[in-house]
Amino acid sequence: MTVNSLRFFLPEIIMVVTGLVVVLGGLVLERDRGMARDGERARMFSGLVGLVGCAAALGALYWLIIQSRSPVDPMSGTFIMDYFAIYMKGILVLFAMVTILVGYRFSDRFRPHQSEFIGLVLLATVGGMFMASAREMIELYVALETLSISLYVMVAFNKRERLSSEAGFKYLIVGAASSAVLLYGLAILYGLTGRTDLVAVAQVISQGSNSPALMLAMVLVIGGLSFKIGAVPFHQWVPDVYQGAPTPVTAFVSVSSKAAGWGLLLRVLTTGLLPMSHQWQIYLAVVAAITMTLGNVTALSQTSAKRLLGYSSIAHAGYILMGVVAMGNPDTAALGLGAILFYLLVYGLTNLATFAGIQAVEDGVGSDDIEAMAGLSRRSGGIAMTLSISLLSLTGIPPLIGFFAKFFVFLAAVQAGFAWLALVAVINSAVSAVYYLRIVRSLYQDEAAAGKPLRVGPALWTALGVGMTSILPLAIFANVFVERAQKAAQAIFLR
Amino acid sequence: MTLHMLVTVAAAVNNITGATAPPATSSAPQFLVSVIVWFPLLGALVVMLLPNRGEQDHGNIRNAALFFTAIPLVVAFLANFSTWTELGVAYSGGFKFEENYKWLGAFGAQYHVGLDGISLPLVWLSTILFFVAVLASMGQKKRVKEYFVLLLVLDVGVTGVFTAMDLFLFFIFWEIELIPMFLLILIWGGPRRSYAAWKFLLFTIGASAFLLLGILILYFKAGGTTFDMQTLSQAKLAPELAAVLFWLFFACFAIKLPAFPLHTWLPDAHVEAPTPVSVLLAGILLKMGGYGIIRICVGFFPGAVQKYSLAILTFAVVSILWGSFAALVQDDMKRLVAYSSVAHMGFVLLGVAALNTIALNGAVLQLFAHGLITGCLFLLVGLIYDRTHTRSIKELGGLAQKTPYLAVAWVVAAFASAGLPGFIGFIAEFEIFIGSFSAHKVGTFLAVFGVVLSAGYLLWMLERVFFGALKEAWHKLKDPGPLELGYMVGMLTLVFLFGVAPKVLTQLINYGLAPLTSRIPGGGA
Repeated sequence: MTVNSLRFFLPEIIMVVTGLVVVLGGLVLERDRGMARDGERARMFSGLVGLVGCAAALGALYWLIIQSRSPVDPMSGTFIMDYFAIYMKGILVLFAMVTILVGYRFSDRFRPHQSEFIGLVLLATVGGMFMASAREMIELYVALETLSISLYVMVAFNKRERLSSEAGFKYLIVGAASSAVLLYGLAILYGLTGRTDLVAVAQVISQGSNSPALMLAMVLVIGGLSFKIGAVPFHQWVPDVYQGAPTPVTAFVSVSSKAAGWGLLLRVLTTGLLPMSHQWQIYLAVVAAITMTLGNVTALSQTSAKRLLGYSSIAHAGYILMGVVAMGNPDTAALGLGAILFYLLVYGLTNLATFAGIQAVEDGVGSDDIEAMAGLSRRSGGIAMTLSISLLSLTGIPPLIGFFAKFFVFLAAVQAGFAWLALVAVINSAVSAVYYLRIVRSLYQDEAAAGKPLRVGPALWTALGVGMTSILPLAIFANVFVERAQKAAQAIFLR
Repeated sequence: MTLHMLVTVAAAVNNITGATAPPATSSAPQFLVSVIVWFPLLGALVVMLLPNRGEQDHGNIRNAALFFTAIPLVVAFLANFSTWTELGVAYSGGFKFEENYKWLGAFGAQYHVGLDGISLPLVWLSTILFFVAVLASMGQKKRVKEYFVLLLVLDVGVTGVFTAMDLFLFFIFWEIELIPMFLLILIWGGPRRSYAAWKFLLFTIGASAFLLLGILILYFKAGGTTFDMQTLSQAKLAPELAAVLFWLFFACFAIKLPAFPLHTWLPDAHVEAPTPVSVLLAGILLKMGGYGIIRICVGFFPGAVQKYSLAILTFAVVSILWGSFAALVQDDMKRLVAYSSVAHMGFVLLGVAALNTIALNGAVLQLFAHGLITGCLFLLVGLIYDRTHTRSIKELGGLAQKTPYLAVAWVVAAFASAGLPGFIGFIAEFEIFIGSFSAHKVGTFLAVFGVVLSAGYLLWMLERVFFGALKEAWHKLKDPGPLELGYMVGMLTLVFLFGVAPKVLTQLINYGLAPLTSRIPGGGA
């Protein structure tokens, strides 16, 4: 590795530097603790610097695309920079930007730690970005922990609130357990193959025969990673963390942390575990069916909107897994992966818009209870409408963008010969409409809960605006995005 | 029925089967269908941006909605001017006003819309009914802005379904209707609106699941390269697969139609919905089901339809008789009309089961006829309810003494609904019976009782509501105003005009059916 190849790390470097500047700058600006003006100044500083840093990182990513048209491997196999990695990094940085916007006003409640909140968003994103490029066991584990540890802190950020602390603790325990499972799997893989580079691992596996230990390693690795994506069997933390964490953090966990987890899972499946695609295809098909059914059925009876969205995100993990299942067949691999990448972008932006809406409601009403939102449309028509549109997009109602995302993974699953899984998913999708629409109904019902119109700041409106532009008009241009995603998908198989 | 009438109809029917037409030439603008479909969406955006503070603003909103439904109506009629002068010859060559743009190239989905002899009458129907529904909503005072926005969005979905030529696009339009209708019932409905709206939602979503599955399987089994409906309809499928697909699509459309035993959402939804929304529900949304059955089930899988024609016949006859008997015992007028819809939609299925040109022609015509006539009936129920605040037949009586115009309109509409000659409903049912009798004698014989029963429940209701002794409570009742009388007269005039000159429609429909019937095994004559 030469100094010259440092340029491939430029996006990550920019994000790390921005994160540190934000944290340190916030400390300086907030010298006189308690002065409202200083708090305002610190918040503005960290928000703006964070956004500018993210924009610069996006620029650096774009520059890297122009620079090298083929995948590059600057660190002899450990850090790979291909279209897939760049795509994942791009959406992660984008999600970080929207999260900063969603949490901008909310971070006031973390005083005097508001800058640390934004700094942690940036640093966690760096972890996720490394996960997208990792192709080596030790690096991927370190990257994963960078993300996870930042998140443990963020979830418990409202440390004086019981639910938040409890959520942080649960998250830590389940996270530690799943990390252990992942490590076990990686250790067995290393023991069987003697390599930590995932491509080398794949070569050794494809030469040897299938041993039971290998199966165990596969199940453990995938099981450990299912923590991050919130799939069975490590899904139990999702509802608690979603409900307990501060809403901007929930938004971040539901979007960035998940996308990063997906990036890593996809990387592992398409490199180290590629020779075992028949085995993980069947395993994941079963997991997908269980995950989506469990998520949807449990979501039906929830009363807290955030908790409900937690279960819904489990269900969505199940839908995305359908795309992974399609990746098990060589001829549908690109189709499946393209569908997943598109899904991640769409789901991320839609979910951020949803949480932005819920954030606005929580600010005004003081609760995320579905009943507390009753008749909100009378007071704040704009918020009610954007929130409803986001929820309908999550349901997958055409012509909203969420439908296209779902349709593509369904298509991939049927194409790969898993029509039964598509059937399960279609039924699940129908069930999910009931609970999403419960929120919509509450928003539009006549009997209004008392209250004034919600106060929504410009940052939150911007976040909502980003969400709406992705949900409504993009359906017309879905083609462009699908083609980009498929390009990224094809690139991952070029080794 | 008079002999004269029979002769007229027989002549019209003869004309259908003997229709040969020169190929059409036309240099019509190629954005016409898009204007009809998307103009209401523009209207929804405009209404959304209008201020919404006082009564003045509400007036503006209503007028805007009226404008944005009037333009598609005018366009739909004007654009097809040739059909009036040359009796639909322009449509003898299949689809007209086609627009075909690349959309999701990676999957072969296109923005492909157009009009043919089957879709054109239904586009007319929907543009007429949306315009009338907005007129009938002039008195709407509750959450005016949201109401008209939803109504206009609904319009986009419905007209889109009738014009889509790409199955993916068809599905998108099919789904657009769901949420606005759910909210329209939920917010502006009657006392049990919540129950009715959720029931509607669950049935419709269940139906969509079948539709989506059917589309996905068909897409892949036909090669996985295109969603084009004309291409897919020619796909070579194994008979077993065609049978499965037929039932998937049929399940979806039968819920929407609705056919017994999947009809239970309908009485609830119709009764609870506000009058203009009931008009749209019965007038157009049910037609989406009938259109789907004819366009997709018959158009794509004629072999399966033929194979299972006895099953379809059973659904048809049970729907007709069940709906009619249920209507007979209703006390709520709206419920009565709702059950009569179940029966009348059963006739559509009867026509499909017969699977020959005359019967299918009658089935499409029945969609159009029932849309107009039931629209009238729901409007009339609404006019009574506005004045008396009850729909209970028992509580009413002798209204004709105080509201003679309303009574006349009711009698005319009821006669039309009961299938009296001179109205378009008669032509449709007559065609269906002619076609069906040659195919299924016993089934047709049973179905004819539906007509007898419809005369029974409608006339019996008229007698109890309008004639007899005037009850104390209704002494101060007044006739509807000029606006209400205006649109009632307009609608009934159409019902009558098409009834005496059905050839305009029958010939048009026949051109649309020609590609379908040519693929029916055994000719389908």
